Amino acid sequence: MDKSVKQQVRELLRKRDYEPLLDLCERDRRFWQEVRFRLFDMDENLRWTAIEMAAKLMQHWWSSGQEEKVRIYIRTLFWSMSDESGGIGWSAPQTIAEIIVNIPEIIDPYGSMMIAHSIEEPPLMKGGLWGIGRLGRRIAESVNFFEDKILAVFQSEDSEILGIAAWAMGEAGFQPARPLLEELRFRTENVQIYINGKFLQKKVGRWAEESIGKIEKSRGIS
Amino acid sequence: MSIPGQEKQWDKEEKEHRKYNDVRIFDDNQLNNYTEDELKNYKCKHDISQLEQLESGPWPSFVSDLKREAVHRHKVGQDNLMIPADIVDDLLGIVELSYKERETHWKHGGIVGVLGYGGGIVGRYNDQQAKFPNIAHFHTIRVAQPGAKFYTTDYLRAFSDIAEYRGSGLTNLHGSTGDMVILGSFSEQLEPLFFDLTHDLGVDLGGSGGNLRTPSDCIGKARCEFACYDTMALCYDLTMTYQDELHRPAFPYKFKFKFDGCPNCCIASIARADMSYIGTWKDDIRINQDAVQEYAAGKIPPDGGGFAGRDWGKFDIQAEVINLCPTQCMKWDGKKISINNAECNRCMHCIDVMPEALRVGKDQGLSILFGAKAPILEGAQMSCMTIPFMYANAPYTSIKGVVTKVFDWWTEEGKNRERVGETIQRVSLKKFCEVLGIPPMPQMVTAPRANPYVFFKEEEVPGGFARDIDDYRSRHPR
Repeated sequence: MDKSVKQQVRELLRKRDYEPLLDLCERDRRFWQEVRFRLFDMDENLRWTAIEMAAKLMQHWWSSGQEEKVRIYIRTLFWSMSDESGGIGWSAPQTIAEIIVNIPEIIDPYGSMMIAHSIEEPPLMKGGLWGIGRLGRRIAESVNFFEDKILAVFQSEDSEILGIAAWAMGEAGFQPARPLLEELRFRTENVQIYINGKFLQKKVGRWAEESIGKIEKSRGIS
Repeated sequence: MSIPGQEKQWDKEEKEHRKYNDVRIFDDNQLNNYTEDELKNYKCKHDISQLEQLESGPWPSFVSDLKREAVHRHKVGQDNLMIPADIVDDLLGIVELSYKERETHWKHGGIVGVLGYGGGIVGRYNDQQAKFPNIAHFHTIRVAQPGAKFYTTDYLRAFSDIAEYRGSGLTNLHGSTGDMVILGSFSEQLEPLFFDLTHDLGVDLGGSGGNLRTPSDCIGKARCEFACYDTMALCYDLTMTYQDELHRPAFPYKFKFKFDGCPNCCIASIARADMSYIGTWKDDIRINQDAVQEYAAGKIPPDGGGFAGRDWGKFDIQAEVINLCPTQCMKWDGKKISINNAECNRCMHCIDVMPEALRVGKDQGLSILFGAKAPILEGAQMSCMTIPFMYANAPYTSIKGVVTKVFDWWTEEGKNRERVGETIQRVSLKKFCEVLGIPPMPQMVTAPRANPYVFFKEEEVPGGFARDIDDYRSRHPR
């Protein structure tokens, strides 16, 4: 890969300067390829901005009538979550969720498929939970459908999974999770979650508490 | 490795790896910890009577090897291993079960990996976890092989220690792509294993999934007089150049580079690589007529002395070389060999038989072929000759230019799980040549007397493709 392509993509992602990058991706597919590579980046800033960039490009394609191209890419992401030949799409659930946020009409069927492909795969679980949180109330129906599997996530010993799950349940307004959130109220491990372009760090207990509030609010109790 | 003044970052990196004694996990007593009597008395905790029957055959048996490893691990003890000491026993047990039931209990694949990489580890699980808990996970880790598979003993011993400590102790040397494969690790050991490999051995994971697979090369100019380019240098350079493509899957499916220094194709790139680089030459085969005479007189053994152990009869140049030339481009008058080089198709037979008399030409480079693969969507196919000749000189700008065109085009055009050879087959070689920006050339053949690269566009044919059959017949009666 051309060094200047790599460099330009990294710089634009770091600046969150999506418009010129969108233009470059449209003009030369090597830029788009480089954005896809950054979905695996260990640098969280780059990784999350790459996820957002991928979603914006899909939205652009979709609105310009290239719907099949978008579907092909989403199918590629799903394949990377079920690849039997040793591949893993670390950011695939998050990218799918972000694409759905940008193209809401594709939530059916991709929203529930995103949950189905990630919720039982330990390496993809955090991404899937983040996707639920990102889609929030929009994906509530699918969350209800996968109730048992989603509640089983709370058996995890990984505090990051618990923190993201706690946040996601609040965003989706998922009432059945409430007793499990109550159990997390006093957990003190810090968990960082990427929300609206920022990394927010709170204790697991705090994430759980806020979620309980959101769930209650969604029921009109408080 | 690189042109002075144009060194890449990786050329400047410290290449000296740690010595075995710096990183070893087991001491000598642990490594040589059982007697042949103990092996004889080994009793697997599962019934493996059918497997044991295999040991009675005339061939070395994998069952015997597995038993050795089982005994060894028992004696090393669980306190010194990160993976169950009984893993091999359970492996034998599940294989025996499959022999009895005649169906496999391995599930195909599983999603595992190390952070930052989208490939390199293939998840393996089975559906008998309650019965065989020690192989609940049996992941395989692909480790990039050294160029041309040159090892130091330090490296091999350190690799084996890691495979024992964080794996089942079983390895594949080598997987079909060339990787060194550590078998039988558990998910929680993958990150530490990756750390050990990269920090202690200075080695990287190989490729898996929809990405560039670990490029592999023949021994090339390191030890082979037939090599027409430096396979190790090119393989290394492209491996380092395409790190993202190797570790971060973004292709429709796997893509393999393989590098053969000459048309003998020792790495079998023509049968296995999506993009095969095969050394060749432009000028004439070099002939040493004095050495030809010595071969004829029996003073130099043919085939490098390969035909030994029995009387194969007197070497007959006419019968064993000239008559076997596939294009009949050679002559032997009893004193001298002559070659019509324009007709030579680089089969290498004459050079292989009389290496001291015949040598590859001096004007050397490589051919690039595309599309070999095993059966997946379509049947197996060999690579097609596409670029008959390119020079292979660092920094390989022209070669990388071709690679970039292919990657860009195939990533866009290829369907999910479609190898580049299948994409070419689907859209036609004509289209592929247009993508590469190369004209059809007479050397482009898929097989003798089959040339799918020559096409006519309608606008190039006078009168187009439509014709009046009556008009034609008026000039060409039946």
